[in-house]
Amino acid sequence: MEMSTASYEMRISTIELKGRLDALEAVPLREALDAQLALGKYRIAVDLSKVSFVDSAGLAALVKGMKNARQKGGDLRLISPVAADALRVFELTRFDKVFTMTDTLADALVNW
Amino acid sequence: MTSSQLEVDPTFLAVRALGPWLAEVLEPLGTERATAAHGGVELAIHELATNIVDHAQSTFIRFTASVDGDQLNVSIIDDGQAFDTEKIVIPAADQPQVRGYGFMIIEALSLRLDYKRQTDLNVWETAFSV
Repeated sequence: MEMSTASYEMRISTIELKGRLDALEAVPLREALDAQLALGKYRIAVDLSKVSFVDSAGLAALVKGMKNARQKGGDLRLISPVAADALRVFELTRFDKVFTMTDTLADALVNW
Repeated sequence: MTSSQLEVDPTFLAVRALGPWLAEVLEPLGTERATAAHGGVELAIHELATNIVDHAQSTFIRFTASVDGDQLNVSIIDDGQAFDTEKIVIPAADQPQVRGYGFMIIEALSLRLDYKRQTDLNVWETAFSV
């Protein structure tokens, strides 16, 4: 019998946001995402469950992070907002179909 | 029909006053209608305001709103650089580009959006079903 074993370390970064993700908060989010990518962490889960409002600048920061992560073979997944005012921008732009959006962090980690 | 006015500095922080102000404007409609309308109206006006902050280099942004039956009319005035409407590029939905979603969102949420340059002012007028 031949047997081989291997172990893999899957590095997933999580970023939890609270409050408003608007033009004011998009800049620090972009910086946080860039910092993770610079560390070689290309799988990033952003938890929006406690976010109350998202605008197009916040969406753009997430889209840029997703594009950069995917270019490196990773992904940026989202834990969906609960608040309708936070989910609206994803639905209007149909980015709810582009991002992997889940209800929980555990769901986001499935098949990753 | 009465109108309400809000004037803010052209900063992202100051624009956050829009939400509470719009809640007051919509309050006479009753809780159910006001709550249903508030989020979409705030997002649309917020997008227009942040675009002004980003590009107009104005010294103020003034919002005026009035409810007329089942319609909310909002005008947004600033004293910044003239806006070139030719530069509005609506991206295709779900295409992962980084900029340009603001006007796409406003278009989806509002009944209309008109722009005119009036002497040294930019005047935007929009309306919503409420």
